[in-house]
Amino acid sequence: MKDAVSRNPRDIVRLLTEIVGKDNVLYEQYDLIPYSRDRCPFLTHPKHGVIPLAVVRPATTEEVQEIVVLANKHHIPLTPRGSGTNYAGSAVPSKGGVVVDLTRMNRILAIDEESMSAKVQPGLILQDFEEALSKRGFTFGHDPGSFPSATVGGCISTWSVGWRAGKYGDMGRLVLSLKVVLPTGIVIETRSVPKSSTGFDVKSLFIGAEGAMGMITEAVLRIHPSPEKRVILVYGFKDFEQAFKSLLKVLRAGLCPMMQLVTNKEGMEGLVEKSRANGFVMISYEGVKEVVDAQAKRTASILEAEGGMKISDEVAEQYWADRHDMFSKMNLVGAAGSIDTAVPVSKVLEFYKFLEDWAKRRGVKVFDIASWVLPENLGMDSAFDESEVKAYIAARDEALRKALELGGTTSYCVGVGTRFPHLMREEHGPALDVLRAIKRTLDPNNIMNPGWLSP
Amino acid sequence: MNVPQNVYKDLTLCSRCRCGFCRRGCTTYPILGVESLTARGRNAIALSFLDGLIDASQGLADRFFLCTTCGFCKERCPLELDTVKINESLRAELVKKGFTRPEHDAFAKSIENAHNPYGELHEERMKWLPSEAEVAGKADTAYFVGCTTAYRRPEIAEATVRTLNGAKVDFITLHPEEWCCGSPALRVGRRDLFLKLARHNVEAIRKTGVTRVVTSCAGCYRVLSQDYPEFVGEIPFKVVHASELMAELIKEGSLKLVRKVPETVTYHDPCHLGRHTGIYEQPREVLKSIPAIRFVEMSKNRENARCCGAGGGVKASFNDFALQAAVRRLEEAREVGAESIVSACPFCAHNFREVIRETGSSLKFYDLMEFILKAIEF
Ligand SMILES: Cc1cc2nc3c(=O)[nH]c(=O)nc-3n(C[C@H](O)[C@H](O)[C@H](O)COP(=O)(O)OP(=O)(O)OC[C@H]3O[C@@H](n4cnc5c(N)ncnc54)[C@H](O)[C@@H]3O)c2cc1C
Ligand code: SF4
Ligand code: SF4
Repeated sequence: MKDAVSRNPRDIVRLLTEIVGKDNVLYEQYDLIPYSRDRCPFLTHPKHGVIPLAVVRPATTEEVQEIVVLANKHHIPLTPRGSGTNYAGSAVPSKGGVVVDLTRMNRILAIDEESMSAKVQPGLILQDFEEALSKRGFTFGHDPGSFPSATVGGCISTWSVGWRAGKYGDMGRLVLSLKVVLPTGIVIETRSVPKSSTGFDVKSLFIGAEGAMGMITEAVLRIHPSPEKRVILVYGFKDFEQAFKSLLKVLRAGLCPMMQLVTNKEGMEGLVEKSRANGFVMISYEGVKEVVDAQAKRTASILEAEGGMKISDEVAEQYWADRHDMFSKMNLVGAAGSIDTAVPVSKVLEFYKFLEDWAKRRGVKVFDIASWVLPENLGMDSAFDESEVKAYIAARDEALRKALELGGTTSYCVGVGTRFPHLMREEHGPALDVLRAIKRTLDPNNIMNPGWLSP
Repeated sequence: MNVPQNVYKDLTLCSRCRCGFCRRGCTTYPILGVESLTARGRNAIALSFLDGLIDASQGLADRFFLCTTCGFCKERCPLELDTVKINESLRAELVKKGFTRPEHDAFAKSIENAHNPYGELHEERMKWLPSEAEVAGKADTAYFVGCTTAYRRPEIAEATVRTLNGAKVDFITLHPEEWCCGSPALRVGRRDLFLKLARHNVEAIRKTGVTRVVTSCAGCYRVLSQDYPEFVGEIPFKVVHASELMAELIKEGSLKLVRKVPETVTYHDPCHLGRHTGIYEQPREVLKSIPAIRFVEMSKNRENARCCGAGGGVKASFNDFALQAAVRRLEEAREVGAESIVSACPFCAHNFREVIRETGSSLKFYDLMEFILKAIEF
């Protein structure tokens, strides 16, 4: 129940100030506005978003703990926030309350070269982490499109996936252990070993939890030796189907690319204007030089045997260099809407055909339909006019439901947020009640990013 | 509200995208660490303000003024939004509504009264000119000195004039018709004042008949070469920065750098010269042509260079922030083992020298024009 404090922003600001000092509590409208939105544009939030009561910027686990205890006592909703780059609307204070900006906690606490792990704070930006590691001959290997801005905490909480996940795994796999402040203020820390058999995996409760289960204040992450070499191969095919089948041949040969992408023609627009190809495969390897050379050679011979036409290395390099920016550039055409669906490999081509027809039927401008990182991940990037938000959402839901019908998921990354909570019963069935029961147990007062897990 | 349509359009584009790529590397954001000090944050505030959802206030205005207009965010933006122009348009709008900085009011008044922002006498603008310097009565080239160089960093002006004389480049100066170029006015949203200055200077230069204007100031260079044509139309002369001219003179053999300077030196790209106008290589070419020099690059260089922290009216209004940014930059110079940091902007010089003095740093700062004097045999 709300009490007098939770209804009075001044009291909240005063109490937060006692914890973190006045420089780290924001309450002026102009300072709050930037926290009223994340990357999620017009789909779930109007142009001007939801303004929080205050923003608090803790620097330590202890400060986070005090903030959580305070919020739990007075039933004040808390929204953890990294860089606000998710496009599910999950870092927006939809239920009001206080945004907890974790970007002050951005330090690398330790790099353990022998264990090949690093202990970091959640507000650390991926690119800062990668640059620090590369100076010591290491790489993290997590490279989502938002690499220059996303934080470790945000990536764990959305279970993000990046360009190099074929080799290093998605963000969840890169986490060895977590320190978390639970919604009741209890601090837990899991063990920094890859697995244990002493009960089910507690840390997994926070991976992909969109900040609803607690606040991550530290993470021990796997790191890897910097690769000696990287090669990127691009081949053009008659169409998407042939390209996808050729990729499967490569995988069936036992090859494990660092990165794999199959895209339709639109996905290469501007890069391969003159090509007759309508489908493209891009495969990359990195690591020990001799191994990379052997993998690349074998891959090239398979793709060529499948009728693939080699696209120049410059195109491959240009695509790679532009990989963080390309996703944003869609916004120049219209509001970008991405569908990050995954279906079983055997259903990918059926889903692809559905998406192609669907886009034509619904009049959606398609940037690309692509299978990315894992062959199952078949997503689509498109743009629409802001005035057509409702029509777009209806169209999108049709595509998401098709993915569910084919046995897949509505989202392999970024999360549910405020995008499509209404589809979660269809996705999870009775398992949704399991998720919600866990949420209720950990967060009895429903203060931690209250959203689709606690309707 | 009265911002140009393209600015509003850019704000809308950012509000679609909100990728936050502009945060990392921003000069002023890390100092307070709040979103409202990033281009992304400011764009969100601007949209709310222009849509009438939030009123202007001094606090809001200060978020717009606490930006060095260094352009790092613009460089990072995948949509290539002109974040600097957006901020300057909003500043202009806020100034119209009466939300200004007192320090900016003071320098604007001084510019109105004495043609320079420092409250100095216009008659003393050329006080630095060495008696032995040869300034022509008529020439194809004019040296545009600029206020900061003339009144605060005269060593740069002196070095420029000595070098031009040494290389036998005839030049005139515009005094008493050289007024402030208008950079400080334009950068902090005083567009009317800027226009007055721009019109005056263009006319003064036109009357001399010169075909080329050379300046040793990065801020003047940006304004003369980019803002004058944009705001007052085509200009009847070419504008070159001293570093460009020096590189050219060295190439054609008119300027000989012969004396050995066995120092480890790094180059700091001034924002107005680098990111704003794309001059990265010429100053490096000049330095590298000095015999025995050990030239080292800082890890963040050229379009990635960190800002010194002084620009966009920040030094005048928030000097602590300017100094903190300069401390970070000097640290980068030290990391690569530099003994000296060389730049090509009197404003960077002013800020770096203050930090070096205040912190007792062993690093030495030189303007490019000062530094090359070491290598010239007169
Ligand atoms: C240009 C661009 C490209 C992108 N490309 C990809 C991509 O390739 N792959 C991909 O997976 N995603 C991608 N995304 C989406 C986004 O970057 C990811 O979701 C990212 O993980 C979010 O990180 P963040 O720091 O911005 O988190 P935020 O957006 O701030 O937060 C995301 C969620 O995590 C929660 N959270 C944040 N920190 C904590 C914490 N310490 N403890 C508990 N909860 C927390 C928030 O409450 C929120 O629910 C992209 C986004 C952009 C803008
Ligand atoms: S211009 Fe420079 S200081 Fe201003 S917001 Fe951009 S990066 Fe930051
Ligand atoms: S980089 Fe550009 S589009 Fe992205 S948030 Fe910053 S200003 Fe907006």
